[in-house]
Amino acid sequence: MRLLAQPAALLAPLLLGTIAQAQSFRSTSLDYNIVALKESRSLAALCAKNPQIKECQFAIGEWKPEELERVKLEVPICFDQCMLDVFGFYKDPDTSREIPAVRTKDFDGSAPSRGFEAVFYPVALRLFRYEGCAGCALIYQYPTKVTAKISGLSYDLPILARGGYYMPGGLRRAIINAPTSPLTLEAATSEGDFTVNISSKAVSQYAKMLRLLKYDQVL
Amino acid sequence: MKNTFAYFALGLALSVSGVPASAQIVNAGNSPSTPAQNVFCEKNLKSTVTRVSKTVLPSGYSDLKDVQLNSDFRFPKNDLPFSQALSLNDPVTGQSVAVLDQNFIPGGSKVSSAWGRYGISIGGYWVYISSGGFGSAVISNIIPFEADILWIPDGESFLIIKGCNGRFTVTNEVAAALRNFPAGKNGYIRFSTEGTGSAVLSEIGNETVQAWKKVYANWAPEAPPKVESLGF
Repeated sequence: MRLLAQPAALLAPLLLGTIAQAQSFRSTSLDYNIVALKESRSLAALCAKNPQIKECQFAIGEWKPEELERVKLEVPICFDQCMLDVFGFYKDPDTSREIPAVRTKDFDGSAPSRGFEAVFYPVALRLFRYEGCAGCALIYQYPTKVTAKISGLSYDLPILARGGYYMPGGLRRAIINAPTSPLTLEAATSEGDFTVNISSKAVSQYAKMLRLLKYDQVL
Repeated sequence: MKNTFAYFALGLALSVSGVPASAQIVNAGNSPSTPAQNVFCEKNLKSTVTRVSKTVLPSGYSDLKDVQLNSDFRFPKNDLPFSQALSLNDPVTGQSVAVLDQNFIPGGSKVSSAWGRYGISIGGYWVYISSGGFGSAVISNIIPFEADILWIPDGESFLIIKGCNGRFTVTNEVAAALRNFPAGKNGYIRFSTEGTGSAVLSEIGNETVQAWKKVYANWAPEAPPKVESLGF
């Protein structure tokens, strides 16, 4: 009995160390700081407050202004919004803030006034359904649940704001690893459930954004 | 008749978010109503400019349809659902949440109301049949109206709200009274119209009463974080 207890006693500190490391790894992942992200109201503010978060350490954002300027040299910068399915920095016409994004749409060709618009930011997605008709008001609907599917895996996207969803690290990793794989979003709305197909061009452009902004080093 | 609809459709858009409560006038300290020399009007030499912050909606309205009010007066088609809370995005005055209601006699008088977070509008038309029957054509007089005084029951008391041009400002007290209407039951309001002293009783359907609980939920205006800021 004593013989068995001795190795266990020796292993205990080792195990505790591993658990502590895992916990520290978890706590520094943005996936485990979503509430803090919401409270900070912006990723840049969170990174200023909490620089040990891995995304803040390795990735490029407004908290690394010089490196960010270098990235801007490689992609288009457009006022208000960039072309569809292209990674570019769009300039907010009001604040002149330059925000990296990939904007894409999924609509039925026979009814282009109805469909989904998705805008990918480095760690967030804006998604809404739009429906219009000649002469009536355009109506947006924000999904109450979004599940992303890529390479046979599913990822639930936590809701950050109305029409805003968090892109979990696992999903970002899957997109970087398979930038040409089809990505679908299962969106539940009060009008029913919809499948949104993200074009392979948009997916590869999002992967490009993640790589240029060094999100591949976070994973 | 068509013009009446057109007018009201436009009115709904304006009234729902166009009359923010005084608490919404964030910049009042910096930019109060500014008397200015009006060079265009000979008789009214003083004019004012008031700066009002656009209204915002907090999180919690994700389940509502978000109506972009981008149909101008040339497109008076009003196809918005009644008795259902809607999120509205007015390009001029900002975001709001509202429920539209109508009460009418088929082919006759109609009371239309828009119950917005920051403003209420009540208008419609009365139909008076002056002759007809026995083979002669029916002649109807349609008289549009706008409410100017509104009575709302509030527990053991009631509120008297004065407005003009069919518009009423929503204060915290008004919002609480509407929010606390018993759910599952129809409600009643009373209103008088411009130029008349009589007060008309009008029923509000239970679905609209239910929607008031969303529209007048207790929250202080605070802009939610922007998705692009959270994502970058």
